[in-house]
Order: sequence, then structure tokens, then C-alpha cells
Amino acid sequence: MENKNSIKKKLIKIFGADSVSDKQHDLYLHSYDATENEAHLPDFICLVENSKQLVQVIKLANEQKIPLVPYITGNNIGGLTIPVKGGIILDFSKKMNKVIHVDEDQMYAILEPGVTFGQLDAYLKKHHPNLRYCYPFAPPYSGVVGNAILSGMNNLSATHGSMGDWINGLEVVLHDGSIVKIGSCFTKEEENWDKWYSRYPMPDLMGLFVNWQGMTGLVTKCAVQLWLRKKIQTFIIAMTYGGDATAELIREFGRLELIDDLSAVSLEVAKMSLGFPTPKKFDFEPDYAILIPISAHSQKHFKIKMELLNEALKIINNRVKRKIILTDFNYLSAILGEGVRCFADLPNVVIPLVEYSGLTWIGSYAPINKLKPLMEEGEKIFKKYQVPAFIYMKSMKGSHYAIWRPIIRFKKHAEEKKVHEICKELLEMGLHYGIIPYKTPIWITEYLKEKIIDPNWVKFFTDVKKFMDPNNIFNPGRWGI
Amino acid sequence: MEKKENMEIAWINNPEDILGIGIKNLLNYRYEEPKFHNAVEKFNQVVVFDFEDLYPISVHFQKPIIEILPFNGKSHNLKLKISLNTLISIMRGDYSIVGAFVRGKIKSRQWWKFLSIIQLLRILIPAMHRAKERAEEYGK
Repeated sequence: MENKNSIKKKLIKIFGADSVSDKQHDLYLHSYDATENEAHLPDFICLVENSKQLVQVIKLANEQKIPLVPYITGNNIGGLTIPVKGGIILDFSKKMNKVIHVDEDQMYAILEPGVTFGQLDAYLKKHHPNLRYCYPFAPPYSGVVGNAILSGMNNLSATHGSMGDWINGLEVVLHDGSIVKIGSCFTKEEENWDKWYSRYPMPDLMGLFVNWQGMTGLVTKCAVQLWLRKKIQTFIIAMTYGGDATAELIREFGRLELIDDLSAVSLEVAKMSLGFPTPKKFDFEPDYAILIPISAHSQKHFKIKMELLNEALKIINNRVKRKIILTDFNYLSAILGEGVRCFADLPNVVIPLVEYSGLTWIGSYAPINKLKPLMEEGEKIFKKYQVPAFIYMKSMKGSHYAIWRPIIRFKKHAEEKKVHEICKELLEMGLHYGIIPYKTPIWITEYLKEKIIDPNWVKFFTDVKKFMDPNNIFNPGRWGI
Repeated sequence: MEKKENMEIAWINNPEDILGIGIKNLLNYRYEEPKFHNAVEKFNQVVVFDFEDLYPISVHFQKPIIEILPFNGKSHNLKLKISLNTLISIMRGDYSIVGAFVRGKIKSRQWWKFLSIIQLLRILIPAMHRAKERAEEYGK
């Protein structure tokens, strides 16, 4: 590798002097995230504006064997943009953040990587008020494309699954500097925004980039499916006692395809949002609060949905030890306090997630028939370490699977060791019940490779990575490669 | 604990259970109103709201403090059986409080204390109206 000054000059030639930094304060800001994962300084920060710059920087990175780490807003909870091998942070958030096109008839949006959920929401409300995307349990400044290509969940997940399922097309810069379009946009035509309407039926090359954490190429455009913004959008909430009732409600309500989403959180989490950072949980209180966004085309449609949900609830209530309470969230939040609205009015800053300097989790896809032991065993681990339980669960795509996500808030530079112990215990317990972690930090992928994953899969995965990135310049270190 | 200057009822405790938090928030809709403090002072009783779908909670409207506590079986002046959905139905206007009594949605074995019940309603109904307005804003 040439010396840093020489590389800096080349980067300035590519990106411009005002878009390249090696100042310590800039490097520091891009060296860590909220998690307990170890920080590491990059060598340069570059603000990316277009694909041509990426072609040039990839050429440079290959020549000099410099890592390239894609970065949007850095608020993922997996250490995904920590440059563990140093190198160049490619920051897409400042200059490559346009909503390129919205196709109203075919209901999709083509986005640059830096577009945030807040930005897309505002854009659609202004220009296409009859359409909506979705929102994760994350702040409005989180990146849409990053979430989509990492299969994030959202407030329409109970019906539509993860954001990864809704990608129509990608434009990616590969290791050799070629720019490739994937999906129905794969034609020779340049900038024909009409063609990004489907992911299939050609061989699904999208899988070479989705969930790879930026290890196989740099995504520069992403077409995401949009959905009709229905006339009625409201919320109901369930409160449950015990693992049986909670798991059954999540599973049964999810499979009815009547609701947009279903997010269960430990009751403690609701209290956190109401001004109790380390809440007590009393035995007589419900264990979980389950927020259920529901939308409908008309009052009549909404009424029918509610009738069906109430019928299903009656059946569930006959089976569980203690009856589930289902009520109107707008009214309940007016009683409880403004704070709980942070879970509903997305995109939003979810108060309990930002109260501490540190935040980490075991984010996982889970078999929906194992939610009960997952929540009960998870609660025991939280109790053992005297940390308020913060378990978040969802039904996904008609209850074909679930999300199980125990979350830990902590003080940075003070509690990392303890937090890591808790995470490891939660991970081992979760794996016992068949979870698969997502948006995984390196220590988890190494653990999975060692203990869980079939070596044939690991070899295949490693071979694909070598093929896609022979010089290992794309986010190296991820998955231990 | 919150202190309110120049008012007879100066404190509402900080309950840590979810229903207690809700009842405090509901009462807080009226916290700035002298009428509310006068009504509480006149009332001066311990009421148990037995939320049959959740758990019973007691509200001690006793000068100079309103104390909201999970019910521990100790003495009280008035006990009302209610559910969370009944409370919300009344707020939403599905039926009135009187209608809720008539329908058996609110139950009390202490009918001879109807004056106390009316006094209690004077405290609660305006607070519920304010909460309703807030809920309707959320629904927009």
C-alpha cells in the first residue's frame, strides 16, 4: 500500500477536496456505533456523490488493497459499519441521497443509498400521498436502502414480511468496476425508470447482495415496493399475561392477514417510554404490550376486520390461563401518556432505544412455535443480570416466522464486558430454540460458523465471497473473512 | 412527587405500576384547574377501582395528597368494578358513565353511597373528556 498522503491525493482527485477527510475527529465519529463491538478507526472518510466515483475508488482499493466500508447513518445495532480493518468509509448519506423516481402506477420508488425513512415518508406524503413505504422500529434518520438490503422488519411485516422481500431491483458496482442492474431493470436501456417493476422471473441475483453486509459490491440504486396508503390507519393494543397467551396471540393474529403488523414488547419497555428508565415490573401487571397497526379502505372494512379479530380473540381467550385485553391504542395512549406514542407514530425516535449511550441486541429470525420458551428463558436471563427485560417480538409474513429480539441498553465504556456476557447467554439460549441472528456482528457470525453452520455452507459462502470480491476490499472482516 | 403552588391538593405520588401511571396521567389533565383541587378536597375518600381484567388499584383522594397505589386490601370508602375497555368505551362516548352502571359495566355494592359516586364522577368526567380530545388528535 502506498503511503497515506499519496492515497489521500488520489481520493481527492476522485471525490474532491471537500469530500475527503482524514481528520481525527471525523475518523473517530466513524469508528464506533452504539453496540459493545470494539471500535476501530478508518483511514479516510469520503462523501460519495455518484457511481462513477465508486468505479474509480474500487479500482484504487483493488490496487492498494484498501478496505471499503459503506456507511449511511451508522445507527445499525450490529457493528456493521465499524471499519475493523481500517480503510475508507464511503459515506452515502450526504450527497447520494435522492429519491430518483416514484412510479405511482406500479407502486415502487427508486432510491439512492442515502435516503432516510423520514425523508421518504415526507417525500411520499408531499408528492404521492396515496402511497406509503414502511417504517422500522428505528429513528427517522435511518437509511432505507441499508435496511432493505439487510432484510429489516417494519410496521407492515405481519402481512408483507421483511423489507428484503420487497426489493424490485438493484444497481450495484462490482469488484471490477462494472455497474450491473439486477431485476426487471436488467435491460440495455439507460435510466428507464419504468423497468424497475419486478425482481423475478430471471435468476435471482439479488441474493448475492441482500444480507451480505456490503461484502460483495456497492449498491447505488434500490427499487423498493410501495403500498397503498389506506384511508384508515389506526392502532389497537393487546396486553397479555404469560408466555402462552403472548405467543398464541402473536401467532394467531399474525396468520389472519387482517393486521399490518404486530410488535410485542415487555411491559417494562412501555414504562421506559413513560419516564421510567429502569422500571420495576410487578407480578400483578401484564407481561407484554402488543401494538397492532391496522389499516382499512373504509370504516366498513375496518369494522369487519375488528369483528374477525375479536372472534379470534374469544377463541384464544378460552384457551389461555388469563384473558388477553384488546383495546384502542389511541385512547390507551391518551390515558398512559404521550411517551408510548413513540412506538406508533413512525418513523420516530423510540425513546427507550436512545436513553443510554450504548445499545445492543440479539436480533433474530425465530421459529414462531418457539416464542414461548424464547421469551420465558430470555426473561430469566435479564433477571439474572438484574437488567430490565426488553424483549421485542413480531409475527412475520402471515406468521410463517417470527422476530425475537432481546435488547440491552447500557453505559458505553463501562458495561461492555457484562453486556457481552448477557448477549452470549441470550444467543446460546436462542440458538437452542432455533433462532437465526440477523444484522450480525462479527463475534456472532464467528460463533455460528464454529458451532452451528454446516461447513459445506461456510465453504460455499466463502467461495462466493472470493468470486465476488477477490481482493477482499468490500467490508472485510465481516463474517470473519 | 410534583408540587403545585397555591393549591390545597399539592401532590400526586409517582406510581410505578402501569395502571397507576395511567390514572395519574388522567388526573393530570385537570391538574391546573382549581375546580379539580376543590372537588378532590371535598371528596376526601379512598376509592378502589377494581379493574377485573388487570388488577385493583386504590386512589387516596386525601388532602394534601392524591396517592395512587396497587390495592392492598386495606380499608376504603368506595369500590367500583370496571374493566379497561369499559373506561375507554366511556371516554369514546360509546355510553355514558350512568349508562355503564345501567348495563352492569361498572358495578358497586355500595349503592347507598351514590352521592360519593357523583362526587367522584365530577372529578373524573372532565379528565376523561380531555383525554378523549387527546385520543382524537392521535387518531387524525
